[in-house]
Amino acid sequence: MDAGGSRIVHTSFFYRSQEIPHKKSGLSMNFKKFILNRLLLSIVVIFGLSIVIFCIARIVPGDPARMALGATATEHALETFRAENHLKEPLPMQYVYWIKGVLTGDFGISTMTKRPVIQDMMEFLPATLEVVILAAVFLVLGSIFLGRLAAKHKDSVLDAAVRVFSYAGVAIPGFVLAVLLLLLFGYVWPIIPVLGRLSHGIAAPPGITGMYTLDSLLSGNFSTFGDAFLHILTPALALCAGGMFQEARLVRNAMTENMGKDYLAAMEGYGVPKRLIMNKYLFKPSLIPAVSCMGMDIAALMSNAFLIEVIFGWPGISKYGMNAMLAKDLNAISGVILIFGTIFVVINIIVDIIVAYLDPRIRLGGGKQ
Amino acid sequence: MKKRTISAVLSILMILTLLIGCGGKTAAPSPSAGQPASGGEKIIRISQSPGGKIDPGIITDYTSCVAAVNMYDSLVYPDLDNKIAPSVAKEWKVSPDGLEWTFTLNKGIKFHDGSELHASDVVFSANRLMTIGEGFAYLFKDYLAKTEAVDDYTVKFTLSKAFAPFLSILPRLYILNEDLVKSHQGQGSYGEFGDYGKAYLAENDAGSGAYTCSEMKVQDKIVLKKFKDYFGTFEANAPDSVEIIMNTEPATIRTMMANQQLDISDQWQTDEAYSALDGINGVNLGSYSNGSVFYLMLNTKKAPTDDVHIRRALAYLIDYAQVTKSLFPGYVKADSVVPKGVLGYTDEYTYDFNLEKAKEELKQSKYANSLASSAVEVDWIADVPDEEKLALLIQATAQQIGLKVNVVKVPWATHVDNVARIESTANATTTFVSSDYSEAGAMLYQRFHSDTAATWQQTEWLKDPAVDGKIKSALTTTDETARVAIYKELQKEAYDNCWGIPVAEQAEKHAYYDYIKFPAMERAAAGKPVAMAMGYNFLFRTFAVNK
Repeated sequence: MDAGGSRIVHTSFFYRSQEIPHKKSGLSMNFKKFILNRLLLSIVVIFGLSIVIFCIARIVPGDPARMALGATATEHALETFRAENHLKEPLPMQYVYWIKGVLTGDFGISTMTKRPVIQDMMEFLPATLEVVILAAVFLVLGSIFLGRLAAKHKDSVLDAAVRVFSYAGVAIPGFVLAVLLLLLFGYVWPIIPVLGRLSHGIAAPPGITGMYTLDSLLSGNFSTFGDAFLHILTPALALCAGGMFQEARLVRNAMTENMGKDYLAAMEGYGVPKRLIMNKYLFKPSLIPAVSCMGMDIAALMSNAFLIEVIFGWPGISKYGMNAMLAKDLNAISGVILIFGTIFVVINIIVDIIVAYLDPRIRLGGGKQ
Repeated sequence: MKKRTISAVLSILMILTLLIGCGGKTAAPSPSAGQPASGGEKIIRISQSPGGKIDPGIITDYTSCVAAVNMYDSLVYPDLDNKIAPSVAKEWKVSPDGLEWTFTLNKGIKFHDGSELHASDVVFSANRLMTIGEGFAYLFKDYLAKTEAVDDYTVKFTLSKAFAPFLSILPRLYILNEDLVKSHQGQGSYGEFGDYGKAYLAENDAGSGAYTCSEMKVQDKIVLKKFKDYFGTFEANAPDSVEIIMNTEPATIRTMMANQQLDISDQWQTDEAYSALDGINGVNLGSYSNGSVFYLMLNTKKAPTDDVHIRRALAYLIDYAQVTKSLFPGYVKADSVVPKGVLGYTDEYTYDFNLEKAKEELKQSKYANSLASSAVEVDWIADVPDEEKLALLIQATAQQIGLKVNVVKVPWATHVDNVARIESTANATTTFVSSDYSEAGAMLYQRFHSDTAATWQQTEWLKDPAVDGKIKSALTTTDETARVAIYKELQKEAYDNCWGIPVAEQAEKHAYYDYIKFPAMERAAAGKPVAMAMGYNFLFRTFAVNK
């Protein structure tokens, strides 16, 4: 039979599904165009974001020179600062100076740390990425595992537990969970370290990526890896817990809804192994709604990490960005938000590609569903 | 039914775990749960607010001062009695006209790189501070005309006009290693000096102090190590290293202290947090007056606080006893516009809580018949939530005498912007102000001189040439008795005209383990004064770790 331009061929004993598109296997031309369009649009989005954040950072009340140097700075110092940062130029010219620097990797000097912003970001970004990546892994694997478990044991204790935890995930803010984990593991049941990136007396691994877990693995220092991993566990859990249980619920609901579909009954009737039905024909389409939410949640992890970083003493870029906003550090604010925006855009593109992989209608239709 | 039962049971279990985690007496874990320094090294870990920097030419905040006073030396320093004591300089003399100050340096003082400290380093440090114009430069800018090295161990300061408290501000001139800084100059806007070593000094020290900076992790921590060739003395069992941890999050501080990963807490915790810390076995709670005064500043150019009777009424209606007992436990009532214990302080001119007098003042006011339409706006700074308590107390008490008070929450950045113009400056603002040095003249200048109008330090908008003249006259009077007399006159004037209301003097609280010898706390417990200058209660070479 035909379904949207493809043919489904199957044998009677061993089910073999073979979709034969009009073209050879691989991405369709339409889909390649779709990805290219997305990439080009993303550049426009990032450019627009840079203009918006630049303008907002400079039009909020307060003299940036005074905020940077303090109320007691001499007039000469203030004038020097204004000249160095082109604060007396018209706003469009200030933007041109700034974007020229950004394109060459120069985000200016942070008035908070008195160092180049790019240096601050290279120091703090890996720390946040480390937590976010682990949190994302927990979020994806945990939500899939729990969602499948709940769907498989529908209406059981496990299913109820996942439901209760998903409500809790919505209700409990991440920073509250962080404090609870801190008190639990740092105070009541101190089985794992909770503060900082490494235990006292353990030297940091060679700075290859800036992520201690990865750097210690790359340099073969497994004891440092173990210590760093234990330190990162609680911040990552606090960051991902809410989203993980919510997505688990989405996976569970989608799977239970699809369980009643006719095509699955037909496959079962044809003798397709139950494991294959569960893992491929039920699971894959059920994952689509959850993947979109996962993408948004993972992208939001970066900015949500601020309070987690403060509570766990984690020297990351989210905390740096928030302190920059409180100190009205224009260069740092602009740099951090641009980075966050870029990461957000990249993650959205990745999510689109994953969804396209999961849903052949998108892949074959060139991004249109 | 079964599903609902299971869900209900699980929900109850979750709530129970929450409650178990939140309450209960605090017990310190076994000492082995802490993180002792390696090889018997004595270490002190102290928490402070984030944002600490280590370049002495640009700092003004508390955390940075705590680091700087340990990494750098000055010619003189304030001891715990607030008396100026010799440090790098062993003696000094001042010319009869008060314009030339000559200091003789101790010989053989080593910088952390091993080179010797000379007068040329003092000259370089003074010129650097004045040229950059940030940090504590404002203390010197109106007075210091020239700094020169007479010889290797003699330095002379020439002032543009006599400034009697010159010695009191010298502790803020930290001495840098000229050769080291010059060899690390980067590109900048200071001519031949490039960036004046700003980039290098953001992460390295160039001092001669009792401790060197072994690690500077921006916004995370500053680690100091004992400098074995320090020219001064160390207390027996003084710490070999000090970690200044830049985090004040209450849950984090509590966890760290309970695990002995923190020895001294910062002073920014809430009362509830201090109570919890006090409950940890082995932890003491102490406080001392740090010279910071909590004011209700009053705009004297905006109705209705442009009327002195309204201002006095406000002064009489504050329940000072409640402020120091309930709202800010540990604080003491401020009896003058200048902090207690500084040279020139007097407690003769002070307002007390008296509603009858407040009513009388209101009757004499030009707004007596229009109080309902003459509301007083009291702004409190959003970044310091406790300030709201005072604003609400004033509002509640004012209502009793028919004075309308509106309470407004204002973020700090907005407040700094508001006070730049008379019309946007509120009638009253709650603010803490610390004295720049230990003389009444410092606070009188900060609070009432025209130079500080339109800044957060003065929302009175006095701009009175007569007052300016009197303040300047005091500061240029080298005879101490005469100078103190002028300070007292100014305090009387501030009282008569009610230029702002000093409400209380801040109690700087710290939780600390009992094995820490904390000199300032010992003195406070004995009723003695402590150093008022920021950071000088934390000269770690005078501390001891007795465990």
